Amino acid sequence: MNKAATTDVQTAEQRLVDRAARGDRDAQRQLFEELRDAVYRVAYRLTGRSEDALDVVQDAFIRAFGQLSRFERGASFRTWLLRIATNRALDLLRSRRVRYAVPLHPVDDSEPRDTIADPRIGGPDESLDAAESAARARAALEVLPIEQRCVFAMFAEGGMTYGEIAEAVGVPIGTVMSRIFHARRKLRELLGDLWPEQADEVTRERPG
Amino acid sequence: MNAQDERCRDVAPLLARALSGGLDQLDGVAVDRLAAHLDGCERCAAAMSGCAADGVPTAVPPIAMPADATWERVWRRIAQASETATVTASGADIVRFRRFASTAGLALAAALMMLIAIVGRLDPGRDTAELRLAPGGAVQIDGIEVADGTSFVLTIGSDDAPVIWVIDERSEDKP
Ligand SMILES: [Zn+2]
Repeated sequence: MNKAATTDVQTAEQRLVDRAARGDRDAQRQLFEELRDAVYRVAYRLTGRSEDALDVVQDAFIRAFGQLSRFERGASFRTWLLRIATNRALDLLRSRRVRYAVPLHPVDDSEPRDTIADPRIGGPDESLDAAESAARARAALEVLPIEQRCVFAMFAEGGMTYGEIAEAVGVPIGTVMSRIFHARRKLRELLGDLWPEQADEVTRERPG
Repeated sequence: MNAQDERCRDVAPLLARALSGGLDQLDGVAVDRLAAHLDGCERCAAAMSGCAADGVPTAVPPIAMPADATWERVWRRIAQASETATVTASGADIVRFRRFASTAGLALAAALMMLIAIVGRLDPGRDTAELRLAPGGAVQIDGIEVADGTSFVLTIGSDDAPVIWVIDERSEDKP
């Protein structure tokens, strides 16, 4: 994306944020649809559970929409939203050791549950492989110190730049780079056999 | 050339490597040296600032995304909670969610049932109930002290567990 295109996207986002701040439900919905995947991915990498990640998405958007009137014009809504989501996911992790979900009503198993739609997952064998890989990835991520996990999730799943992460987390760019490096090295060490063709990951400079 | 320029020149090969996607090929010592320099040098940090993964696969498998129906349900709750929060918070920062915790879970579930009994039933088919703690009541929900007259919003989470939204004045996510 060239500089003009990036600015256009930012302006479009700003317009949407302005409308959402005035309580325009369509604009809020559009922001939700555009950013929910990134928020979910970051939250999922941090919490390791789909239910928790969905709760984080829900909470992050409610918080963000509730504070939009004071959102600083010109700042990145996406960066701010991901920061909120990361904080919520960390809150959740901190309270997890005592976390326990109590269903209000017994869950009716005959009722069809939402399925997870993933076109990359094919037949039953493939699903089993995918489930095993996902479990290994979760375990590997849990090995990382939380500050590395956070930065890695924002970088790999949130599509954030070093600069955006530095701003969101409140650490300098060198520290961000170092955390990403060490996180990826550890993950490759633990998961490298799963995706050998991805061994040569690269970081790309985004034209800004 | 001043001392700063000289320090920049020292790390220039490392910086060029990192910028061209070769960070992973550096060793830990080199990365730590570059990181220390970036943390103290605005100019070099600015050069690194725009780096992003941009669709590059990571060493971890892709995440399966929720189905459309799940997103629809999440959106409905955001819209409902935002509406309720606007009405209830009246100037308070925003709501925060807390799920039941295990050790406190039973007591909280009991407290919640009492609240529901006092304030009104959570109708089947209705996702949200707005609650108000009865006079004389006070409960602790994951570190948030909830006293008389506090407003709650009760929703059902994605896994059918109750989620309590509590009006929280202490927001740390200032934009
Ligand atoms: Zn420098």
